[in-house]
Amino acid sequence: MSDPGRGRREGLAPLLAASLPLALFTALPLLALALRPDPAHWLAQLGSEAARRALALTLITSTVSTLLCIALGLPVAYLLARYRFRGRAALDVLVDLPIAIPPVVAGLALLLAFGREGWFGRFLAPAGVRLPFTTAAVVLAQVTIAAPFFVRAARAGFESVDVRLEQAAWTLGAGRWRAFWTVAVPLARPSLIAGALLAWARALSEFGATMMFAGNLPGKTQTLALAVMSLMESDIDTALAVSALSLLLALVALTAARLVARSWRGTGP
Amino acid sequence: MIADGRQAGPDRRTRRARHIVWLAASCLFVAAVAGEACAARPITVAGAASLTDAFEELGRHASGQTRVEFSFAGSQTLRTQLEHGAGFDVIALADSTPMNALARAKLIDAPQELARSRMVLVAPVRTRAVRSIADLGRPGVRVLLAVSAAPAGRYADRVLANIGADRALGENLRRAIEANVVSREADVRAVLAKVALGEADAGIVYATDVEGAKGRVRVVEIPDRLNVDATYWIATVRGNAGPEAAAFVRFALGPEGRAILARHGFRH
Repeated sequence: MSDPGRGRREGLAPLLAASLPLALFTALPLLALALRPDPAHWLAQLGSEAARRALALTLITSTVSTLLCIALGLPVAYLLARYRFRGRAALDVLVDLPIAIPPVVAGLALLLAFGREGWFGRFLAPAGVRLPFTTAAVVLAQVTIAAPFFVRAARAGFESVDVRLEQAAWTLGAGRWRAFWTVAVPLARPSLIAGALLAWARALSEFGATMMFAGNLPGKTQTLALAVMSLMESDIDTALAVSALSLLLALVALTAARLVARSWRGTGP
Repeated sequence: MIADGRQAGPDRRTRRARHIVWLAASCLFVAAVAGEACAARPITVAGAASLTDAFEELGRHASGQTRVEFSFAGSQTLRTQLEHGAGFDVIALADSTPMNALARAKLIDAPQELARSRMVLVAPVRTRAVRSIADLGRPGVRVLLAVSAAPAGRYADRVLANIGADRALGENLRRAIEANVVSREADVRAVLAKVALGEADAGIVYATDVEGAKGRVRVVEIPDRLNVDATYWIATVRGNAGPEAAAFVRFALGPEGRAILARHGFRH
């Protein structure tokens, strides 16, 4: 690890000062949210039916979505990292697209595609499959929005793996499939895990696409973000407690991502 | 040199094209921003989602010198925004409860009754599943309501309670309907939009909402004995509002405003 920037101290103070506005701008509202409800009250609110169901649903759906993001994202990430082919640029843009469009638009698009009268939905309906307003729709919305975060990280991870290591495995008789799982995946693991945690964090906070495609029903499609919206007037204390809880979950996810990334950095295979 | 020149030719052309694109984009941006900035300060009217169409027409007729800008959302959202310092000049909500709360907090002047509406069922034109209020309880019917924090959701809850208390319909039907509710949408317009898209079999919305979705939804009346009287209230925002805001409120409450609201199905 010969990082020329590391250990340098001159210029640090002015840069720190210049970074302060953004840091404060981000931290202050979050602090205000975290410190608003007094802790004892807070826990009592979290025991409420609405909060518990929202938390359970959010944890389950975001975990399932993250696993789906990994399963669907791995081949795409490896393809983009390793191969040059016609349409690669288009695929690249397509993968990033959900980051750039408003989640509400993504949700509306899902509704128009998989809704009862949608392109695919009308073929699913006779088979008894109804997606809108179901828990499956929550997962689908989260996968749409969160997958790009996993694919970006996983792709960068695969790109940082020396292709010659995989080639060596091939010459030693390992098939492409085996080389992928025994060489590429283990070497890219820090990025894969960091990407999965980012995707999980994004799935936890999903609101717009879920509201549009899955609707808002306690216990079935009402995740933490939707619960905050629903509780805003009727029960502001619970809304605040649930907001603080989502903040805590996000902190856990992002801190875990950093720790994982650091624990693997530089240790090598 | 010649080879260089030949290579530089198309390169220079693409570069020039790129400059032109950048220039055009910047001009558009600057023009848009300048246009916004140079116009006189508009007044901002915050309106309940269900007032959207009526208020847009009011705005077109009211604006003599002043421009009127609207912010439409669920009444509960607008109330929260105003409580946290949103720069509205006029606010009109779909229920007396949030208006009275704002008045008690001295955020607005005394609310005045603007109009009345009632609730109806809407169903997609292509479906036949829901023809009467009793059909809402049939198995497999997908019902949408607004979130309880929104006035339209509270009114819908009250309609359901009336169904439960009704001798002919009864508690069992109310429970069956509640079990059929697939989502509580953020505001009443979202209920209408998803029914119009055909994703739900029925929704409870204001009678005055339906106009915008004509041709896509069917209206099923809710009998008077089960219905509610939805009232709309309007007020100027304290401290912020100038004479233009008061003029807008006067216009909305005056004969011309009443005529426009009546045209959109509101009663007085």
